[in-house]
Amino acid sequence: MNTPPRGASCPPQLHLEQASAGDWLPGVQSHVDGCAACKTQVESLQKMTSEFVAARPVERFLKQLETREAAPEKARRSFLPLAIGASLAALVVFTVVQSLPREPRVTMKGGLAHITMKRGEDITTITSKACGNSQPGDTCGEKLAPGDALRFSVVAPREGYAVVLNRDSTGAVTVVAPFGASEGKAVNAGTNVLPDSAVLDDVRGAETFVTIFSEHPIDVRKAVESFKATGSVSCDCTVEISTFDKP
Amino acid sequence: MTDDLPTVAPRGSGQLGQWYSKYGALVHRRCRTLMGNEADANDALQETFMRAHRTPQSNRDAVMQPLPWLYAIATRICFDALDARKRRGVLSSLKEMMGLGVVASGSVEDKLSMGSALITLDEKTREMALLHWLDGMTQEEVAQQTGYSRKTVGVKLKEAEVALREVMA
Repeated sequence: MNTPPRGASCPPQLHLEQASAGDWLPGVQSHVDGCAACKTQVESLQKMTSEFVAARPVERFLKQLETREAAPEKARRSFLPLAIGASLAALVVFTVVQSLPREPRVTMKGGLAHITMKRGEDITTITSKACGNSQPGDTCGEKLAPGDALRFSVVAPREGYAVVLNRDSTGAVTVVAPFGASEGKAVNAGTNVLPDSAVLDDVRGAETFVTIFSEHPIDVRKAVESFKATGSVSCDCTVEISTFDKP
Repeated sequence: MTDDLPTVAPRGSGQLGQWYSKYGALVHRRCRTLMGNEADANDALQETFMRAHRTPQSNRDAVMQPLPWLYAIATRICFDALDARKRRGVLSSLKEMMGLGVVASGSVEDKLSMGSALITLDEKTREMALLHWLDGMTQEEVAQQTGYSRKTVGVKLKEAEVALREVMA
């Protein structure tokens, strides 16, 4: 599918792609109606979508998701023999490691997380210093508001992995940085800006963020479950919990 | 459309099915562009919708523009996969696109190796490069989207171009 170069008054490619899906941003439809190039582009994208869905029906895709959800670790495509071998090896190591008497060591630490807040045009750095060595339930001084965009940095003592979880006042837990991640982001020693920003929704009350650092890969799903159940996480890791009020 | 498929569809998949019908092809196209092959794109597409499905309903309901949101998830998944595999693909098509300066033109196949090249960039520069070359935004629009100044965006895109040319050399 060929896309003509963007004209001076033409909307970005992304907006045309949204339009092809029926999501018309303000001003786009009137432009497309009068622009042959953009109209052709939108129609081409619509044709592509029609052909795609015809070839890959939604029912089949949802079935694939169901299978994937039921067995996320299942080897996919042509790597099955290798994956089985690797899995068996990993299982042996895992079993040996798990047989050793040990408990997850969670270290509470201040200064691990730095949070930058963007409200309108104003950008403020809310450091964890304001929270001190906070414990679950503590409320830091900063007041948040719906629409605030938060960006997270982790100050890693060494190479490892990091992730930030959020729990709102309804108890809903979201992996906010990297957004939706299933595993921690690899970080270097020092300050690392984590991908993605969290834009706060309209749910009022306490917003709790837990920043997790570990030298080992982080099982985010397990951390989420733990955070939901206990308000903290269970892992060999360092965490900082920052709670803000969103009145 | 999919609400009558409770035995097949995951819970809460009515919205998921609708999003797939509307955005699946576009997300797949983006994944194909970044990953460089059909199999990885299919895998990334499924993972994208799985993560969307796992997002709390209240958060999903708050998504005003689903396509950019799904693109953000897909991009993260693709770069995580590329980062893990340290894959390097064929760069000839990217070289051509960089020469043109505007990557919004050309076929999907023309962009097969873009993710493999962009993985060498830092997060900020990569985000700007994607907005500029894949989403077709001007430097001014990238600046508005990312919160950085137009000047910073220009500098970063220039750095990206230089870095990518070095990768391709």
